Amino acid sequence: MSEPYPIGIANLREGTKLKREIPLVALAGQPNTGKSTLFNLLTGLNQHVGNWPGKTIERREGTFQHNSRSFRLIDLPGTYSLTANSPEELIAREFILREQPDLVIALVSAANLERSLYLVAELISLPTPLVVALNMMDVAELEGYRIDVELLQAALGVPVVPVVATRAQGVRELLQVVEQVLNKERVLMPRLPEIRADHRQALKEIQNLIHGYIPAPYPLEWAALKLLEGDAELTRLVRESLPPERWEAVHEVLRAHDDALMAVASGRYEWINRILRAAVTRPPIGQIGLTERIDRFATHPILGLVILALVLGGVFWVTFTLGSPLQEWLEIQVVERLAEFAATSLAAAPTWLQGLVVDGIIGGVGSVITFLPILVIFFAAFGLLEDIGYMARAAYVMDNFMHLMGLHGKSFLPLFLGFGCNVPAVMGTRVIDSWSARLVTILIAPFVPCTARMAVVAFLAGAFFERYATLVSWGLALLALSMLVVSGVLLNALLFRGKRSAFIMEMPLYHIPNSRTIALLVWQRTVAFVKKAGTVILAFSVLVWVLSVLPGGELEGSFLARFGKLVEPVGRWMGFDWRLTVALLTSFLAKENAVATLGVVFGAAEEGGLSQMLLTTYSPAVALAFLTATMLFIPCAATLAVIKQEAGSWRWALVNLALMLALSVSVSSLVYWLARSWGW
Amino acid sequence: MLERLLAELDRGQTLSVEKLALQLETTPAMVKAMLEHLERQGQVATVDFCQEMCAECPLGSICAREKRQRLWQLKLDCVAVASRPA
Repeated sequence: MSEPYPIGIANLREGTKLKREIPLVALAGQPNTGKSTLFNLLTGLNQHVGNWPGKTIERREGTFQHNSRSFRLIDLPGTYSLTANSPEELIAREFILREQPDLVIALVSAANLERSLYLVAELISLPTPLVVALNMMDVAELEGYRIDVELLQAALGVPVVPVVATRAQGVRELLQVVEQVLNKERVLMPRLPEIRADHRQALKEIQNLIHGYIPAPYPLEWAALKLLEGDAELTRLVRESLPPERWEAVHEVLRAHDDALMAVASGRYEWINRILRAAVTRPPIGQIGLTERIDRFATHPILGLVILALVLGGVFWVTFTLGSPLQEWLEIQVVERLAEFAATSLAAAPTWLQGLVVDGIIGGVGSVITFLPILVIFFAAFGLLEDIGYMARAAYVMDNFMHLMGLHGKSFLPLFLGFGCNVPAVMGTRVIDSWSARLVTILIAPFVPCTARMAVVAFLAGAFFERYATLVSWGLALLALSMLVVSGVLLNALLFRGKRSAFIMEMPLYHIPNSRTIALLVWQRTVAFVKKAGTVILAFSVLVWVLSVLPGGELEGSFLARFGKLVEPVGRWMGFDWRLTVALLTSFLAKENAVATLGVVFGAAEEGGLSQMLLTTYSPAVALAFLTATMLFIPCAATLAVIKQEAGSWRWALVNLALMLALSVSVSSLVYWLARSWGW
Repeated sequence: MLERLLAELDRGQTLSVEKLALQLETTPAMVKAMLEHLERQGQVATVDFCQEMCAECPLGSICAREKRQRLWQLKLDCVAVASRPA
């Protein structure tokens, strides 16, 4: 193993300095570390603002007094490093190297030392004396960080002064230290970041090659290091300064050490990590500790999936325990009574009007409205899971699972949105860069059971299977997700053979849910559902009713029945009569229409309600097959239109339609025949 | 450390910041700092997941998916070692 080597130019620290009557102090720091606050605090009204020469970047300069001594203060642009990645970084480093301030104050955020010490790692390697001002100590304390300033100072080898710039705390002490350093009353022994010895050899070779050619004021070792690091500006400067054959030799060394591009920055992060381990104590218990403990299970590749399945089962259990009695109450006490009231009120009205209101509107829309409690519980459950931070974990474990199946890493995000609605899920595939991966995701997104589909299944499962409804719904949701994976694997094998791309998620901390956020979410989604019931579903219920009474007023001879009987042969494979087949087909416009259609054709407003009618009409085998078909059936019209829009042609929308139709019919038929063979 | 992070990313898996921190024996804040560093260098990109899509979503303004989490992706055209300036 190679010995580490210090990065920097400590040997030049005692180099020549410009003599000034008034000391020049530069204030450096990353953005959002409180630099402007400290600058304003120190200079007050004694400041002026202009632009850096040739740039539109603001230059702020001012003066301040301490112990009757004047100081000039320059506020350098906020920069993350001193590599010429941006004009701000170039200005900051050129100022320090060319103007050679007497001292640099590096303002770092105590609440985010990992990020803000990177600039210190670069500044400490320059010859200018450095003092670190540790700002936002109050925020760090609030977040539970304990920073041992003495240890941090010893680890850095330069003075460290804790301050809270917003409250002017520690500023006097900071100026005291600045003065001590300027008066050479404090000895600086900076501890510099290190790089590997094989790169040290390269560094020396480059130094030898560029020695005598580097224009002032660039220190030789710093310039060599920046070349090794791949700094574009320094590379250009050195190439212009060197004779071609020498540049070629330098270039050869650089080419042989391509990995140094990362190794130099890596050395700085190692340096930061070592310093923080020594000087910072993080909160050992509390929210972070709890999150880590829960995540050991919640994000485990296998256990995480089991937990996800249990959570999903729990959502169904709560839905049926709380929602089904409410749904039943609405069905009997509200819809039925409303139908009775309407029938009585319209007794003198024409028969068609009574039929339209009672069977068409109340039977159709009323049936859909009865599963409002189920929907509200779904919305609240998923809102709660999202708000406490669980959904990110669920997405994470699902993604790992999908990776095993060969799906693209970015695909899970839009897919997870599909639990709310498939439309944003399909639109969400825009985040996927690769076209083939995006296409696969678009095509499988409608397999994710959306809230509408889940609510229809939940309503029908409750009607058909009563106390087994939780188990049936849970099984169907898992079946839909399994179909998603199977389809994904197949389509992936056909369409996408690209390289998988790494994906990194930041997990939010688990926290107590915000009841207002959840309530607002539930309210908005409920309003959206009621609007849908009052428009699309109402219009469709009326249309279905009209088709069910025309031409002769009898359901069996109606246009709806004729159409139903035309498509019934396909439905028969799954055990459906024409009514179930038509109900399934009408769900194409909106998933809830399946219930609305059943409500119209069964006269849901009559005694016992739709649930009772369904239970007495169909065998468990037919019911299970119908639920399976509903869960896997083609997407709604809105989703299909979005698929066409996102995939760019109807071809892919039709591919999705064919895929889902084929799976829905074949799996439901299989379910029906298996259930029948078991005597259901 | 940055090299080890890139090596992990180059394996093409989905990772959480917290798991990466455990693997690299550091803190999640350090992993985030390094990811931001790689982002500035153009090797990693953040995923603006909600930006365009949520703007068109009727529930966008009330969605519980707040800006609490960030997502990064290793750019497909980036290998673990960046290219030198010409």
